[in-house]
Amino acid sequence: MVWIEPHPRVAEPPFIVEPLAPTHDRAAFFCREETLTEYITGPKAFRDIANYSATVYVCVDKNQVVWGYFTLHSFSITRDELLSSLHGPNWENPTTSKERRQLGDLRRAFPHPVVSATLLGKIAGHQILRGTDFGAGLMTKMLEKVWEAAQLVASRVLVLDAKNDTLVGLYHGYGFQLLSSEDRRMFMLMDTVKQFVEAK
Amino acid sequence: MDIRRQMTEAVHTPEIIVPDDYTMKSQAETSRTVPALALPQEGLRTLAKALMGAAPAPNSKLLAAKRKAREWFG
Repeated sequence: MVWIEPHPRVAEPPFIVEPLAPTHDRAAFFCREETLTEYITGPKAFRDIANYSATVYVCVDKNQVVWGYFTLHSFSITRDELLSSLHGPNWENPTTSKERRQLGDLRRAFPHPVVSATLLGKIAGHQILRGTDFGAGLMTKMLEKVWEAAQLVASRVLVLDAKNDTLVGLYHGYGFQLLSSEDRRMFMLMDTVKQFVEAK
Repeated sequence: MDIRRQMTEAVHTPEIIVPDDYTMKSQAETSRTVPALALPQEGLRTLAKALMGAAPAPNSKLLAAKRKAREWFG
């Protein structure tokens, strides 16, 4: 009897999600979006890691073959930007007693001058796995990593940019909300992510 | 390079792993992975309101995805 080693390009769950390393086999990764394929198969992902521009997580099988990946970044929004959009530029200078009470509420909701956030830069699964539950599974793993990261460096919200309207609908179905009608940027509050991770 | 390898192995969280043959030539080599983060006024308003309110619980579709993910990720 001759034992034939399984071809490393055959997906063999269970997968694990871990930080991108040189030992991972990225060469065969392919998805419909060319830029997403190039990012992980070429040097850009390592350059972003080396520059501290992104944290790149890959989904690999036991043969270390990459079947999906996502990148996480951090950014911040100032409290002033947020509250000026709601109450105008003079939100910190109340003139009426009602505004003074409101200011107290605002300071409790935003105790620091900067609101930290996490950005999902890229997320992609191998073309072979299209039509399966793999993509949704990868998203859930991404949320787990986002929550892990938020416990190390505080973050109040996860933001992503959906590539097209179809993806807006997809992410909306999973509970992401659109930030505005002007673009496809969406968000999920970190407390929702926490509840998701802690759910059985 | 041996020092770099030793450092990578010594760190408990090996997120920062640089290939031995990597040398960055210029800042321009870095991909523009982070899009411009300037939010429009409407986006800021939406976010401010959301941050002041209670976070919604994860929906049933998301929780179902978590259960399905166990088949793929163990």
